[in-house]
Amino acid sequence: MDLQLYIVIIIGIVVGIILLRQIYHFFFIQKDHTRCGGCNMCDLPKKESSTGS
Amino acid sequence: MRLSELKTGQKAYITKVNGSGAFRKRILEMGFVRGQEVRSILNAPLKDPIKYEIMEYEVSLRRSEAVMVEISVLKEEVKKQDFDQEEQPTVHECGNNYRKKRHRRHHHSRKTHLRGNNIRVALVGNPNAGKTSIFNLASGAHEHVGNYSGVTVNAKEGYLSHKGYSFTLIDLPGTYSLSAYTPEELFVRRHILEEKPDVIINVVSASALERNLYLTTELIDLEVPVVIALNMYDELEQSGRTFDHKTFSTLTNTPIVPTVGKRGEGIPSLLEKVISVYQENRRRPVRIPYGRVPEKSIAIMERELSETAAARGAMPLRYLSIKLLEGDKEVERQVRQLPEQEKILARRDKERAYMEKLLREDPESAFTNARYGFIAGGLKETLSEKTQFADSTRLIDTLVTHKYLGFPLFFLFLWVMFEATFRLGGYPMAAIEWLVEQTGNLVRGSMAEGPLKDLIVDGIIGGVGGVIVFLPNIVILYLFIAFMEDSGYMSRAAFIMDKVMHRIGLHGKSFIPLIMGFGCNVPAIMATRTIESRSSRMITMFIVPFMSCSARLPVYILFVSAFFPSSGSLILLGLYAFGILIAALTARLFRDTLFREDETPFVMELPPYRMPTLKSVTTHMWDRSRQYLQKMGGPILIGSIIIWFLGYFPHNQEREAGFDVQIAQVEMQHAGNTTSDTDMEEAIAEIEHQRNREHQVNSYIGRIGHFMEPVMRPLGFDWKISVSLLSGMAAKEIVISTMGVLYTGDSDDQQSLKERLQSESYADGSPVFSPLVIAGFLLFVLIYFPCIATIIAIKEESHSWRWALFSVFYSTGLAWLVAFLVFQIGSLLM
Repeated sequence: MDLQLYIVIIIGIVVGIILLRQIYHFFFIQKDHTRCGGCNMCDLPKKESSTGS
Repeated sequence: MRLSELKTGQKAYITKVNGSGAFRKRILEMGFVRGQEVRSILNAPLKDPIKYEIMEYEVSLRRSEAVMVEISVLKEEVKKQDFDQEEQPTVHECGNNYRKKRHRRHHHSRKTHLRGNNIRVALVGNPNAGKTSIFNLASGAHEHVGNYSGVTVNAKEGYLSHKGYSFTLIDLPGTYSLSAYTPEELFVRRHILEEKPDVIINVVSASALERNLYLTTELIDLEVPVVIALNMYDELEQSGRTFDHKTFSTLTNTPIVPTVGKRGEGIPSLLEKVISVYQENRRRPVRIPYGRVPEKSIAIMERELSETAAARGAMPLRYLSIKLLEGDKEVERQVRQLPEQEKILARRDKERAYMEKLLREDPESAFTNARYGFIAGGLKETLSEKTQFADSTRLIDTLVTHKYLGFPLFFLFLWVMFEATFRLGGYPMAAIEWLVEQTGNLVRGSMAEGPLKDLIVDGIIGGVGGVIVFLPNIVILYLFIAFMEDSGYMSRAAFIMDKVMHRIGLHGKSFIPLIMGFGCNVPAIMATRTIESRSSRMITMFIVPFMSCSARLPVYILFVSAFFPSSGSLILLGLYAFGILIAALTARLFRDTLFREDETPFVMELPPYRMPTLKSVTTHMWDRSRQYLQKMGGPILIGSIIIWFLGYFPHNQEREAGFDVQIAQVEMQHAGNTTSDTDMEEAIAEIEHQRNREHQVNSYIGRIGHFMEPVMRPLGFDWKISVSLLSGMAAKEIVISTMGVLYTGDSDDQQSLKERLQSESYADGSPVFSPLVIAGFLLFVLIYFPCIATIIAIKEESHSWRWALFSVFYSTGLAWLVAFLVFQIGSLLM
């Protein structure tokens, strides 16, 4: 087989593996939510009525 | 009299703060407490919001919010009211008032976490107090710093060693207090209580001591080991003041170390003090005295809670009692999970009513007033008056927030930014372009024909080389963004834009993430965390992608320099302005349909102007350049190779043989002397061009492009533009690298992508890139979502894939519609 084609195929396989790895990470690896620490405060509605104290 | 009625330059004294919830809590914590002097400094260009000075710092309030604050211009009137109420205790009363009933169990539980020579240190402090500067200097990290509130939105860890100890530094987001009203406050409190850092460095800005020490009083209540870093101490000295921090340290029984974060002064002493606090087995924390009535209620609540074993969690009982009496929602939620919750909450309600009745103010105000009273008492004896008044901030603000000059100056700044990015960046860009061309020619001339040569020349050099040339432009853009962030102008831009933002249903604070979006949309979306209201945060998150990020800049510069070089910066400014317009319309639409909740108040600190240091600006630019180059070696390289593969394969032997036959026929005709040398060369070039075109059309990428073409053809886009836009979904620079791979050109020499695009034409000879197609294409690139990373950021921040996908479909649909209108209406008119 042509040497250049052989090298190109190897590069293709490597790039394919990297791509699949990225896709796997994107869909199946859970992100670490360190910032919110599971907090749901920002989801709580903040309806406040104005009253004097 | 209301604060909103105070005329510019006048001062008055606060008598009462009305309102409720987050707004009230926030402005109380920021120092709007009874008896405090407040001065109206200036109005924003559209008369709203107003800048006030309180506790020696400047804060912006909307007129509608200033109405909530009652004032009196007569100090005596406020004093009289004070006299009616309970005498506030001061720091002197607690000088020797060490805890009699010590919470040994709590203290002990913290010490059980000691990890030998490894000290976990959390940096806690007000926004813009300089925590990240100290963090960077101590740990050698390069985390982003800026002169505005809310730069750090994420907990960052850094490591260092000092005097045989290893430190794990945790840089936490800035917070004015440890209440549960904003995600930052709650996050910092949870971190302190759950992660239990061994020592807390409370970074206090010496330029606004009184307000900054409010958080310190909360840390004292939490009974955690604290070292105060008195940061920006040089600014305090420059104002001609003296601060007897040793006496204050004795009064509060908390070590204080003066530091200058930007120069690294005092950091070694700070670390040594941290070690000594860490080594101490028994600290005797002071107790903030809240006065007779609150103390009685606290004692009753402590007794009530101590009977419940489950209540003995991470929080000291006294702190838990205070927070319950203050009406802290998070603490209340925790108490509701206890078996005796009804009894505890009933008692709490009774005590709150008792306090309100006797003090004639709600417990929240009572505790805040007492904390500020404690601080004021301590500072009265230790902090001298200002003797040097620096008016530079006032002077600059008079100009940049001027009624008539404010907006023109802001747009002038943006114009200069684009002019420099485009014109100045053009020179190094041309040099890199030449370098890329020479590299391409070198490979072309030295390698044998074959797929590897094509991959290197067309795929890697054509793709990556097409993007790398824009590095200087990106660096210049970030230079301006760094200047805006570090100088303090960012907050002023938010200040003058508040009224405009208010009209689209947002507030000035949302403008900061939008400006940050000019750099990169991902941190801009993360910066929306500083916006208190969820609805405003969500809207801001959706409109940030319309801010042209630095990844889109190369696409603009490529097309503008190729087709409209004479009016480059104006077109750039127009594109950015169009993005802002789309963002504004989207915000209004979403506010009226999806997020109807009332917007939150605009309480924002306006930091003093500071000259950006050369180090911080160059660090910022270097980090961005490094990220850009890393992108070249990562996603852009991978994307270019994939596009090349999809464009190179499959090979059709029959079709190739057909073209070979045609070339052979031309050569035979030439051999028979029926055609001249020139005719033969032209004929062969035409056949090669045809072969290339046929090959691309029948390649995998060509098939994808033709599949998309019916959708994109009404926009005037050919299949190559369509494929470039499709690949650009991963990252916008890939639009260029894909074009670099697809638009190969006909020349034997390596041409710049600019030249290849200029020469691209249809079979009938008409140019592919007509002005209308370019306009539609640039607008499409501007409007459709910037990259997958941004979509992930939206998903993370909104906690929902639904909203992330909504953003994808909304922005892409809108991009298509705008490009369609531009092309179709333009075609009718031209």
